Amino acid sequence: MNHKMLKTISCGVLPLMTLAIVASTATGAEYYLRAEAFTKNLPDPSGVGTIPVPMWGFALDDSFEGLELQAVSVPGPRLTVPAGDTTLTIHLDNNLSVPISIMIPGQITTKTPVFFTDGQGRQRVHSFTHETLAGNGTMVDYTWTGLEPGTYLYLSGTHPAVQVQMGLYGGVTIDAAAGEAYAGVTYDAEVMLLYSEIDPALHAAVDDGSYGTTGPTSTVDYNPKYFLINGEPYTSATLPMSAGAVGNRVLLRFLNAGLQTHAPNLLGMYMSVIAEDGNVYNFPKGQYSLTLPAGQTKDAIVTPSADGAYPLIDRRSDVTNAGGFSLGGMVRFLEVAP
Amino acid sequence: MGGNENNQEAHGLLEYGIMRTHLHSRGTQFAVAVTAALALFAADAYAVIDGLTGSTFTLSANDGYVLGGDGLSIYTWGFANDTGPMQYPGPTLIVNQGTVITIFLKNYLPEPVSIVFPGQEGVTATGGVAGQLTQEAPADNGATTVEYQFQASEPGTYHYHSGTHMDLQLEMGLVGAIIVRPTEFPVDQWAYNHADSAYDHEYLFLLTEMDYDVHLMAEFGLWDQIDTTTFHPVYWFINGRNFPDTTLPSGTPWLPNQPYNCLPRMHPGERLLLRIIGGGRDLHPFHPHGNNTTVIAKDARLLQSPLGTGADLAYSDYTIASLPGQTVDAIFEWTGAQLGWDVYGHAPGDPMEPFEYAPDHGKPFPVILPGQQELTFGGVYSGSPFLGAAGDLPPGEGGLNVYGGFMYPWHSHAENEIVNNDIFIGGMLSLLIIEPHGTPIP
Amino acid sequence: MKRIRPYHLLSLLMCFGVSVLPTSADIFSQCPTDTDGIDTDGDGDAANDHVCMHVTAGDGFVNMADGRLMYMFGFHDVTGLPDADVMADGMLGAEFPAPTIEVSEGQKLYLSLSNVGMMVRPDLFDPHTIHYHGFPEASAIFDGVPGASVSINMGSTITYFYNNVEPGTYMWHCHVEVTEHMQMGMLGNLFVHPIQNNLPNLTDLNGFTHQTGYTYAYNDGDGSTYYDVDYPIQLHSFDPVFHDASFTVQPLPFANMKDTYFMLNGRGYPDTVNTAELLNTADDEGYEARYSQKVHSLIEATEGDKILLRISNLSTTNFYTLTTTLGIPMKVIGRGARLLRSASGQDLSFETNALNIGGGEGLDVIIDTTDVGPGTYFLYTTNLNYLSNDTEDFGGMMTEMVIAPLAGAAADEQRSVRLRRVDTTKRIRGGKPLR
Repeated sequence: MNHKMLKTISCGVLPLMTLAIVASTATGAEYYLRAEAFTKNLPDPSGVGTIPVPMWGFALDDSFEGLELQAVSVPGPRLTVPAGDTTLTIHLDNNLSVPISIMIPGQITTKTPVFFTDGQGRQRVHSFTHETLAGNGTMVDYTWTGLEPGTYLYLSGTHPAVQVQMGLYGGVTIDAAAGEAYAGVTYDAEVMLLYSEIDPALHAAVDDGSYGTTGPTSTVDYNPKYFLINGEPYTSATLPMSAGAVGNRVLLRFLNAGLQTHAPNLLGMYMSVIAEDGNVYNFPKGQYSLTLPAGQTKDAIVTPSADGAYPLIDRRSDVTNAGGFSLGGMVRFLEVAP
Repeated sequence: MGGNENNQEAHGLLEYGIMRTHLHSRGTQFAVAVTAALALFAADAYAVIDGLTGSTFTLSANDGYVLGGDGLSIYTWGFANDTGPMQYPGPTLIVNQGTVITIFLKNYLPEPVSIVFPGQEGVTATGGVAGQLTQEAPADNGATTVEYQFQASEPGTYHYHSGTHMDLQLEMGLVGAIIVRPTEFPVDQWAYNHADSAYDHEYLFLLTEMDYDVHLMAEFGLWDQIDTTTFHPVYWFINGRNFPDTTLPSGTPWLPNQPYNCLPRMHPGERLLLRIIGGGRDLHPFHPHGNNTTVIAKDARLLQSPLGTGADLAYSDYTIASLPGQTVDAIFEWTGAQLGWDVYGHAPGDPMEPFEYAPDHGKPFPVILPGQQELTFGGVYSGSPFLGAAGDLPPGEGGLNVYGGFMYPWHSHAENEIVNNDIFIGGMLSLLIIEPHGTPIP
Repeated sequence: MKRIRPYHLLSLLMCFGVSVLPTSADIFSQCPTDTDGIDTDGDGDAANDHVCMHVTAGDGFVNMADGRLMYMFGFHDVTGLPDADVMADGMLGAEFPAPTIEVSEGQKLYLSLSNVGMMVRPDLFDPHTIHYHGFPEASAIFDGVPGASVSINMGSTITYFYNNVEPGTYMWHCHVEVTEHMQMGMLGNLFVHPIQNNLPNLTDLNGFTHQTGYTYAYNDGDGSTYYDVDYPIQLHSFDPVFHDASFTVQPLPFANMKDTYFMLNGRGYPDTVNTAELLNTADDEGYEARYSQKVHSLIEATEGDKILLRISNLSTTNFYTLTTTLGIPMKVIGRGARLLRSASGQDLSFETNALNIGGGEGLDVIIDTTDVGPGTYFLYTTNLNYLSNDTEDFGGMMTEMVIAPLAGAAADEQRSVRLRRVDTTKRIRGGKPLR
């Protein structure tokens, strides 16, 4: 059987793919991101209807404070640095009412943390890197040079306990070469799997201003009710994700923007786990289970020998929508074509 | 076992606890009464992991009660062996590599049930109705039979669990272990087709946990009140039992729905295989006291480099993180080497024990132990710091360490998990016994 | 950072049949003389391989980073104190974490443990033990598990003996009523230096040239675990409801144990970066204020340094995931007090940006700051809701990593300056030089 060596990128429901506005400079990628509040409709646990949950997220713009045509999403738009390139610049427009910032964990850039002084005169960090103030009139840049191939998260480095879980995160990928994730690691198809959680009560408190005042004063009681892959919980309406064809080398990019460890288990097939946080292992690991701690990314290759829909289930039982009848939450089916 | 008893008495006479107020050696008197576990002597020395052998099995999803270590009855769902009693965990299926395995599922529970087999490839399912992940048996009191089939092509440690309404049914107890024997077995007592996986004793550690509130609501049919996003476990199990029940014999009559135990035992110099299965939804840091273990396989695959053979990527650790859904195979060894004192309490002229570390032979105990009044004695302490020996114990103590072995807790190091619903001690804990040579171990 | 200093008792004879018989219950530390004539730790002196330490076990208080006073149990260093003074100094002297135990491969540790009782809870008569977590080929008697051996009652001393033959990062804690005693804080850092540190100057290690003063995490044979500075980082967390119940003589809520104070080396941020020893406010409760938190977590290094983090988790409830904002990977070179190298020599080390650690797990992580610019970075948990001191925001499991510039000097010159500070004449016999 002949297979088309397609490079299919499957990212679930995202308004924009990498086909969209990427202004590639000679030295890398450049993006205009806008941070904004929005409302996301999540399934009611009864299985009927939806519940609106206030969120923060990123949108992809084509310029700073231009037409702002693109919608905000969680996760934010996927950023792609052209294969072999090493530079990424993000121009940030902050339409939220608090300062934010952007970090890519594991990738180096100059950081100038922002501190404040607490009631006892002790210095505490507010942002791990320089901030973009609320409603900034001039764009603030975040630049990385010397980026290494890999799968990464980008997320806010400001008041991280609150801002990341509100939705300020997304994925970044850089390939070593076309169709080659790392040197010598080729792939024919790709599946992006970004895990995250939502605690609706905490979102409501942040949104209505009671967080830090009359409501919770820390996130210690974080208690997520929704569990997302690529921004959506599983429902009976969720379509399978295209995962190449029989005989393909399919790259599974796992990212965890949540605050808790997740444990994807793949049924019917073994994975070869090859890297974490963009660092290739000395030896790949043959497993059907994966541990995905908070903030980590992992890359795995599967080479299906049979077509079909392979279930990928979070074995931490984060497979309901706010306690409703499962399956929900962190479940997907990887569809391999014949 | 007359010869063995003589050996034990000889060991006993050799010991002398160096107490501050007792300066002479003491004779020993071993309690003749042995616990039922130690008296069992199975004819087949390999069959310490209890389970069902063969290639065709019938599993009935049924409900019943298990006993928590605190004595509370917990309403539970489990797989039964055909018409037998519901059990938790489900029957351990011990099969041979290359065999086609057929499992018939019948369902006596109030909602549909199915079975999935992580780590198995090419699983087919026929009968029943199409479910979320695979064919399901409806809640029709056993009228429908679903047939699952797969070839157990690779040896190792696996598990099976419900594939329907997973968050609830896994919590309720629908999980069990699968062991695939390599083609080398039983000629070679190996877990995989390589000597790196050779063992003298093998034990199963199927780790699970329970949120009692969910079981209570299920017992009273309050299905719509169950919210598994508020997970609050209060019971932790190894092979379906809480400590101290883990140390009771398998098949204990008053634990009719919890047939499996967990009491690992070995002699110095032997290799003990741990088959650890993350059967629940939580991570558990499993800490075997006594020595590091060598992890040789995960998810039923030897840790092997692409060009290597055997477990050439095996590594040593003192705590094994058990991850949900993952299986780990590890080898534990102990000889007491390099302690700097003779762990048997020998005089320099005494004969060597098997695997004894020669440079420490005859070296004296390094400190003066406090007197009896200054110490609190452990329930399984023999009274002597030496292996195979017994010593002075206060009145009322003793009798639980018949052979003078060294006992080590093997337990979850998230210590809130070694509790039975607010009562310390319990939960995910058992005891390794390093028995002196000559002690029978089934 | 507070380290236990060893103490050598010349007056005790250790042999069969001859012993000083103390009066019944008594504080009685032991430190036998090293008479075997063998230089087991490789430092050139055959008579200094015995390292003696003495700790007490009892209760005390610590303050959380939000100021809240917590009743706790813990260990306290009384090494060098006459036995007659130990009870008085130990009572209410509990520290969190416990004093760091730092020894070297080939050294024999005599660790005396004296139980000074619980001053705030005179109704409790808990015995105590020491569990040297990860000690290889452990014997039951010195493993510290009360049910399988013995534990020491109030007013008395037991001496543990450990022949340290495996270098690496371990931890230690009480194992009596372990869920309670560990939640209450009876735990600390422990590590063993490899004998490779004592090689003669200019020894060739497969292409890497050893120099006197160079330090390694393991006997790597090739310098691959060389480091310039090392920091033990122990993870733990408190449940204030549990501690308050202990203080107010209430039943202990095991089933509802929920930690809300998340700490590194016994402190939440920003106390993690306060390099001073912290005085508790036990006087608010009518007790004597004591210095009970003596281990900070501020990580300081110079550009180009290799930092070794000795990370252990002794939380009774949670796994934690740690990361840094350095932007460079952390290299895990050891775990479970073993070099990550297979028996056949395969390199099992790996680079990562997030370390997931469960209770009882230990990791050795090297960070090479060569490409990191000077500045202030952060080591923190990606379980971001644990960046809390209970209901206080901007706290929890975080510390700072301050990378100083070379300030014009070449990296080699900086290193030799650091080496000159390691003056062997200042070494305590059998111990590591004081920082």
